[in-house]
Amino acid sequence: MKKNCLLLSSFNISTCEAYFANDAFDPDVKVLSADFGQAVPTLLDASSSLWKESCDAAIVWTRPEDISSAFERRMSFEPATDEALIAEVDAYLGAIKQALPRAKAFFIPTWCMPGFDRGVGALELKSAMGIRRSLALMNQRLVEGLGSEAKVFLFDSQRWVEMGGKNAFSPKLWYLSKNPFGPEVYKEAARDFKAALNALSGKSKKLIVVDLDDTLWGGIVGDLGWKELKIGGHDHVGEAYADFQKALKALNRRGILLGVVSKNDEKNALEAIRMHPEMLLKENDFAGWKINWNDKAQNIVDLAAELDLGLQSIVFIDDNPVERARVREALPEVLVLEWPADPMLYRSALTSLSCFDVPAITQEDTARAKTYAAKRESEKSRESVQSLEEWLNTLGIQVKIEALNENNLQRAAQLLNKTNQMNLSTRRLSEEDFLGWSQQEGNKVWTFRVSDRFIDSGLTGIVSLESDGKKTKIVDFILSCRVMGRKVEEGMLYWSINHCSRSNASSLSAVFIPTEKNQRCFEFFKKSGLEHEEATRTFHWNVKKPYAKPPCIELITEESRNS
Amino acid sequence: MPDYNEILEAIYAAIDEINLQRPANDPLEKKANTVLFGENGKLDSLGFVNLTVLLEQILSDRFNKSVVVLNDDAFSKQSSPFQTVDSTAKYLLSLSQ
Repeated sequence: MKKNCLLLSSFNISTCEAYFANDAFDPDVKVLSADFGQAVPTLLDASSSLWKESCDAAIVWTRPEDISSAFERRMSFEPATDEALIAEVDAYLGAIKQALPRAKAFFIPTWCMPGFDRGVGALELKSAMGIRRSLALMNQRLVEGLGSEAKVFLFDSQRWVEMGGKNAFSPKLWYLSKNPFGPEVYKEAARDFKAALNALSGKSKKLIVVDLDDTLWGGIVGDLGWKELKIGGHDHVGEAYADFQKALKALNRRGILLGVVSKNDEKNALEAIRMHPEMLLKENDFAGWKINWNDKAQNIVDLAAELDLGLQSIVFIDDNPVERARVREALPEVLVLEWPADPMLYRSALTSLSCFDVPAITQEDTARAKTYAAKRESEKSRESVQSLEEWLNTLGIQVKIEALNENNLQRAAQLLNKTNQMNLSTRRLSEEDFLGWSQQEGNKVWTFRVSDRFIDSGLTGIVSLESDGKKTKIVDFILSCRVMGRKVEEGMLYWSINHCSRSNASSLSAVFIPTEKNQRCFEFFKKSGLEHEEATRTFHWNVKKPYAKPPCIELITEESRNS
Repeated sequence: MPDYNEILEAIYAAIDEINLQRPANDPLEKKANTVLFGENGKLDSLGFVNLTVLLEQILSDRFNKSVVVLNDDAFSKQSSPFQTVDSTAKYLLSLSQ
């Protein structure tokens, strides 16, 4: 589905529009743009026809001298105060804030200057007249003014300029067509904008699957033994592998899972991971692994199933071009990176990726990696009990229930927009729209935080209800795959029916809206005991009948916490 | 000094870049008789500016030659040397010698 984007700029931005609309990358974008120089007037004009169509993202890109006459005076070494500079930035911020309700997201590049403009040289950051000092003040004000707005994303245009190289700023293009930048700048910008659109749609990649030999470390562990592997140490290649691991670890701390698929004896490989003193990534950093002599494509499929992740969530990194080609061909949904041959380029190849961009990083994200290690521990405990029911009773599962509010909104909206499998209707809403919907009469949104004796999985469930007083409908029924299969789903359904009963509703229904990915949700509702009306894919429950609460779940509400 | 074929390759490199800005089903063709500018030309004035500035950069990078591609002649649709790929290559050859 095409994303509608509006481009507002103070310069000729048609080259950016061209790349944005025509490049080969997802998502497809339909671009509307205002005439150049009309950025601020369009922001201030709610009646402009440019705002009539639903807008997924408005991009507002200006030159600093077009926003601030004080800045322009400083470019000519004419006097201008910091106060005047800041006042003009504030006026610009005011125009943006006025326009915020008109688009789902705003992308605002920071201001930058061409490298060939040296300003006052050594005094640039010291003198009040320094252009770059002025620019730093303006950008700082931009961050202070807009950084906390949930739907605004600020982009560092200086990064695009650095990637654009010596032709990033083009005086010729400026004089001929009022376009200040060379094509490479717009390519990078378009790439970042698309990554942000994908992030807002919940399409960020979630798992990196890495090979081991000559990918995570230098050398072949089966031939050399773990002691001779190149990781860290006073060796330029070892240092490069250590830095690559460090970069993977940083992504892992952000919530990106790590997995291993390697053709090796598992015993040798795990010994290297456990024993090598320079090995930064440890066993518990990996959500799972398939280390054997089988086909890597099949191993990736099996690992994805084990972790309950779709193949489209996965990035595969392997030094061997033959293995990459095999996986690329067998699993087109997996992103197989064209990897540099030189390990000294591994870290930069990883950190340049945009597929992990997310609109927010929550506590649940940063705790995600530990969840899988904890799950391995809890699965081990399962071996010592006889039945699933008995095992679940040993976990001490607690589910804390809280109404949607400003404090849990960010994580709840993230879950709403990212969850595919256990998702009844696959609604996608912005934070603002989700909160607004929950506050309408008759509507209620509950969040569910799940923990057991091994791990606190955080906010991992949502139920949204819509009621006319008598009939209540479940609109959203969402659960993270990390906590599926432990009766939490049944607990959420019990809570929903219980709520209906307390509010004197007579019936509860749920309409299943099928997608390619949410068959599991349908299967859950089919086994839930609710009556199924096949023709309309609707499930019904007569609220006068009690619904059994799963005995292994303790439900904790705000009232029970306060009593 | 670049020869005609080397300049043609430089023009095709510029066309590759310009095609990234065009819909996938409407590329500029990399052929000597492709009409670039003027009647039946696929490039509008902005596309023309982008192409010619790109050509200057490519010629400078590849042949270490600073060539001013754009002049008054270039903007006249009747006598423009940029009407086709072939005429562009011949014009650039004359500028670089």
